[in-house]
Amino acid sequence: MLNSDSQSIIIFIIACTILILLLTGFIAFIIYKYQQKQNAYFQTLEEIKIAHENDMLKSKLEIQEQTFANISREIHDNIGQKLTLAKLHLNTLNMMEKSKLAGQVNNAINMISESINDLSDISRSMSSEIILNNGFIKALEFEVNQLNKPGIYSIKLKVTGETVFLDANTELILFRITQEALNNIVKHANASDIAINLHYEKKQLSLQITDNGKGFDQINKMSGNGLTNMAKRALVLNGLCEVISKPGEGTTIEIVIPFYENTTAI
Amino acid sequence: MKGFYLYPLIGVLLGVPIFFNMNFNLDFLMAVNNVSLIFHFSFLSYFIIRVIPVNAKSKIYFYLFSFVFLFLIILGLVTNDITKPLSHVFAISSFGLTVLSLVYFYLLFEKNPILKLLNEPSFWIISGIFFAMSLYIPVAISIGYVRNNASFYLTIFSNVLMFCYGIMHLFFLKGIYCALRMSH
Repeated sequence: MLNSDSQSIIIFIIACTILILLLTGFIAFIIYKYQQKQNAYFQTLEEIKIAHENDMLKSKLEIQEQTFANISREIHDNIGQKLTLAKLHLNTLNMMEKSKLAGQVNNAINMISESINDLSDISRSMSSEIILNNGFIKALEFEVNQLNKPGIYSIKLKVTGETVFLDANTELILFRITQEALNNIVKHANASDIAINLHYEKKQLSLQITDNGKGFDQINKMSGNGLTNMAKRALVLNGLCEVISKPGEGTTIEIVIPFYENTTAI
Repeated sequence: MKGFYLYPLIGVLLGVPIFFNMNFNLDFLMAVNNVSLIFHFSFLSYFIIRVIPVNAKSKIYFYLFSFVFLFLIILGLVTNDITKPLSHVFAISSFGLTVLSLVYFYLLFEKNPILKLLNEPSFWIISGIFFAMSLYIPVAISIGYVRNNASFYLTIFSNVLMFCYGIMHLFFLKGIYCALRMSH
């Protein structure tokens, strides 16, 4: 039989061992639980990433579809009509009435020339070459000049902040957003003044397009195709697109795009 | 991790006279041991607070908590004879460090679990602190009673304390090893 001192020592050692085991178990439990949580976290992250990629793909396809629809409409409504009219002029040429002949031929030539110019403008406007060769600001200036030509609109472009070269793809999408916004103003806003403010900040770019047109009720018309397209395009760049409008008070579209590693300050 | 190497280094320097059985006055050694508690607590609590995953503003509360304990430790040293073993002051310090370690573990689960815990230096170091300090608390609380009533336990107690510190430094070594591997 052990004496009482030895028994106390054994009990003490057992107590210490249990305490040590408990502490070791606690640390092991923390590691196990943390890794379990980490696995679940990474799985959720992966699912979100896949869902986001799917959304992006869907958005890109929708944007592409919309672009094709725009080209088709432009050709059908504008160039197609002019060419049809030119054909009509040429079909109805009456060789006997020499006095009218020259006029009809000239009209047909003018319409064909206009159609060629329109086609050239569409081609230039749709092509990404202007962005790749000259950058976003130059492309924007070209677009503004094109719209200023007929004298219907007074468009002012203002660039502030330290200009940053974004990668070509980002600039192209940004340019398409601006085109979409200007297209909407031309078609629906009935505006006379348009202001485009491009502001380069330290970590983001903000683009504001304001018109003095008739505006619209945001609650009823927010789901319009053009606005949805702009929002989707901004989302592709991880940016935001906000539209502020009231009937009779014009419209402001604000797009904010964050910068990433592949940007160069100039 | 920067500067953490100082802690085990100073620990070793303090242990040199005892290890080589140098001819120091025992009272002097006890006083050095007791006063080093200020360094021990300040260093480890500062380290834990620095790696606790909260913003700088919230860390102020932890610093306040740490200052309260530091004040209690200094008060304990000033109001007692520092040439005698002050186990209750050690118990206060261990309690403070255990609480801070538990807060670290709790907050680890509050944030997104992006750390590779097995390769995380701060996790190993804080685990070491937690392990040693939580073992130390019951020992430090009861050592006074044991000294007076069951002195045969003292050797086991001191062995348990040595074991605690040994394990803690093994955890520290693992943490330092992880830090070195990360830096490469």
